Amino acid sequence: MWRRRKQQDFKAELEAHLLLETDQLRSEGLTPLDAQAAARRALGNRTAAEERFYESSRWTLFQHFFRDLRFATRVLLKDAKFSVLAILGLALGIGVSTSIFAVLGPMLKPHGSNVRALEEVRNPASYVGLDRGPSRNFSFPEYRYFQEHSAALGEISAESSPYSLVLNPISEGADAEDVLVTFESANSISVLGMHPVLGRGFSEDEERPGPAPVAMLSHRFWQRRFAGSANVLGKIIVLNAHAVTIVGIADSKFHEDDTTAVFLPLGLQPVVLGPGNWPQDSDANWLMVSARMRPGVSMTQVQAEADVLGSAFAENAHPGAARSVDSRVLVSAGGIDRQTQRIATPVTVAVNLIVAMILFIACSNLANLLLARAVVRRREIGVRLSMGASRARLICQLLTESLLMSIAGGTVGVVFSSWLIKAVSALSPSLVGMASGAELHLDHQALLYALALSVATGFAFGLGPALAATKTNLARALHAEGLSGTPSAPSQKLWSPRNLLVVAPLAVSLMLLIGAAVLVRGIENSRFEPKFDTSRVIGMSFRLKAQGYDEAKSLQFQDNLRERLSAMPGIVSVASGSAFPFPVRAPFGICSLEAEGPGILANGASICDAVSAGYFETLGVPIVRGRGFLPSDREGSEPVAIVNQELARTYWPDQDPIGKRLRLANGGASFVVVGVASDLQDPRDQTLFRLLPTAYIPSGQESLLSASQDNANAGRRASYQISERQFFVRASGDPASVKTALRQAVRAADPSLWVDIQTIKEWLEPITGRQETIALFVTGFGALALLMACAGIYAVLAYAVSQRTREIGIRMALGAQRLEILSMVMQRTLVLISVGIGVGLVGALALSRILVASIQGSGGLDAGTCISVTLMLGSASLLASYLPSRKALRVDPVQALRCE
Amino acid sequence: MATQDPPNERIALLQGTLDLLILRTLLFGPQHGQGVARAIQEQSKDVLLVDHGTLYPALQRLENKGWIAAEWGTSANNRRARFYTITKAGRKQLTQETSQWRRLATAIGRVLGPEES
Repeated sequence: MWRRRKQQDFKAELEAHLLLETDQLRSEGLTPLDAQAAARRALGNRTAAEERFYESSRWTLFQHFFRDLRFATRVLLKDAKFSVLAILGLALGIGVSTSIFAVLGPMLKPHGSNVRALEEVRNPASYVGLDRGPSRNFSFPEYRYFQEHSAALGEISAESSPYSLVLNPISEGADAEDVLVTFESANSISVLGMHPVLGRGFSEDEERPGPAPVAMLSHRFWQRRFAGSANVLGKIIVLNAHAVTIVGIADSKFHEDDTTAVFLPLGLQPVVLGPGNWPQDSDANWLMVSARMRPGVSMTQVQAEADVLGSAFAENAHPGAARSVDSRVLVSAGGIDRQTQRIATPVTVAVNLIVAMILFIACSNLANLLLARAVVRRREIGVRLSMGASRARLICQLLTESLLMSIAGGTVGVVFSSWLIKAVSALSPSLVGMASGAELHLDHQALLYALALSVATGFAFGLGPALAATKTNLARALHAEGLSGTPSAPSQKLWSPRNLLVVAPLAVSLMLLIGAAVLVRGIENSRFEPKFDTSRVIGMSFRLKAQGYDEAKSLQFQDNLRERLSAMPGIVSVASGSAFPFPVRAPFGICSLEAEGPGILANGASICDAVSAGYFETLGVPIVRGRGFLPSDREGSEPVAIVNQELARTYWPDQDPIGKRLRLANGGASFVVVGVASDLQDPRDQTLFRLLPTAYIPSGQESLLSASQDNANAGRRASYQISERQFFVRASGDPASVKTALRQAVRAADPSLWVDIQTIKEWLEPITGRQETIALFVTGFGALALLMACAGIYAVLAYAVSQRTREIGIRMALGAQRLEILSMVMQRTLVLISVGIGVGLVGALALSRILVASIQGSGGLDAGTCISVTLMLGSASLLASYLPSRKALRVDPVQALRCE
Repeated sequence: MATQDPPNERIALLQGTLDLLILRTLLFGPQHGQGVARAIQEQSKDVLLVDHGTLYPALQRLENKGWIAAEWGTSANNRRARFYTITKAGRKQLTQETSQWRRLATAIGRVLGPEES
């Protein structure tokens, strides 16, 4: 019973039965021949018995499956051309969508927020996050208040968002680097159900002000910088000029999705990341809070309690103050921030839509091929049906074939996509950089996705043809007609499923192409072209203040550096500024300027940049009116400013800006405009960077700027740091060698300094390169869609022509002209193509709405793009349909009539 | 199915009764398939028709259920044959089904009334 009895054994038993029965009948007096015949008769239908034995087996299903599989393999191998075509088509679709999944998956995951993927959390059911809408976090006293008063929540933990700190060289000869650091409460790790893999976590005491300086490393950083060595415990690292001792290594899952390198206890913030003493400040909202619910407590209870505690705390902190609705504390399950989810959605929708469309084209091509083949195999299927095969078994068989094909396609697709991903990573490191520091690879999730995709494809697009193929009229299938495979009654309906399979992919690919064209055009339009040669100018930036330099030391260092650099070979000029030329990173130098004088009210966000002598020459930005800065423009002399063209345009339209006066909106000194500098970028092109009105102030007069800034901010967090300067170096030779020389010069001055040395072009690349990558991607998808749609049209038409060979032969024998044959074959196709294009245009309208909503900088739909794309697709599909039609013209009537 | 006799003289077996008859036959000792068929035919005085072709799948089914066990052996006239033996579970099943069958037969007999002619 537990061992399968073989069919052979059963057969032998029947054989034995016959012998026994014959013996007995003979002993009863029959002749040997009669006895044998009688025994046979008595046994009845032996095959039926054997079949019943066979079907009774539990393993039949599997055996059927394996048999089907064997058969399907044979069938696929027999018609290798067909199979290769189908598998390649599928592989393309599955490969592309898998790579999109792998590339965009991590990119779409918001990072830097308190999002915890559920799989990272042990027992996610009781894990909740508290948030208050976007960017409104909790203050330390509030976190403590919740901790002390909450009855529904057990453990409550807090962490800050990541801050970039400077880590001094960890070993001799290494460079200083900037690392992301978060401040964590004592139970940040344990609330997630994790533990430090080495050493210890933080203690409660270390949350309070003035703790011992300790740090925990992230698992990734530990592996990368310390090669996972256990000796790291007790080591001292210097963060923002403060020595901290490594006491532990966090769980590898902790902050796995981001690049946070070091964790510090909450109490260390005032020490390491001044100014401000946030743990004492109930207005500093810097903490994200998550917690564990106590057993038996529901989300509703937690929410109700959070409402009470939240308003009670606010009442305590600011008695009588009006509280807005968005200050309400929201409790969300799993700690997932609803806000960030919402932000990710439109892009996700667009991407999924595109993937679905490409897959759809691939699938309909496959269905086309399968349908075509089902007709060819009508006779085979007819024979099998008439031999008694049940329809269900045949459908199983056909489904096995399409499944086998789609899984083969999926496998090839995965190989293809891993290759594609490698190509993408090599092509555009900036794109990979976007993926929150994680490396791009096909993880098990992407593989699973590919597998599910191929199985679903096989089912969805194998079932229809299988149903159609088994619904044959037996008599007709076995007839001569079935032999030649001529469609029994050529359907004249326009909306037959087969025609839909031509129209739909065509329409979808038109939509994709138009969408791609719109996007690419938008990106082309927004291509960022700075108005000066950014590859010749090397920018250097430091973080002196973070590294413990006070103002005097900073100024001295910068003066020394300038002198040293001016003397270096290969350097044409050196200048410094207080802001970056483009808002790629802080300091942006944002200030609020207003024009002085009657009737002029323009003011608003502007940039104030204190620049050294030679700044404009070094960058290569011309002064278009007035004069540049002179040595006489120094501290104590009349405050002067050079403005950019944008400022002149917005503040004094159609007037001469020279001699006009500007002042900071919050009062303070007023500057007289002495010159106009060219804008750094074309004002018509503000997709990537907004062109802001900018005022350049001589660096000698910078104190006027900072004085008024301090007034505005009441000293809480002065954004204007007089001692931080960006250096700009114009190189005469190869910028790469100059960069090396610059690095050495800095290291000679202070080996522990963090310095960033890149050409301005390199600064911009992560932002401009991203756009180019997206354009490249989209163009690729468009081309792919075009190719696949054309392949589908070609396949369907080539098949149709081959089916009508006989008919064409007869017509030609009867005297039909080539042109008539051509028009006969193409007519139907032309109708289908135009219907497809019409539907596609309507769809494109809808799609462009979605694209415009989700992807910044894509222009709307315009007639030019539509017409050119339609023409392109139309001519491509005409070509695809002409090729098989030509074959029809070459039909030899004699051959065709004889082809059976 | 091929039969040599006109159908009205022999009664085709009701669904499920074959199992009962096989078990009953095997109660007297191990038997091969042909023997079982013959025994049923003889004991029913040739009234019951056992289609030999259906017997073997039935035997297999019983074997799968664990009511009978099978083993290849040699018959009285020295032929190789597969011998079936009733198992303990089979005996239990037999008692159960026998009483069930008796109740059913009596009930149907009562409904149909006394035999005519």
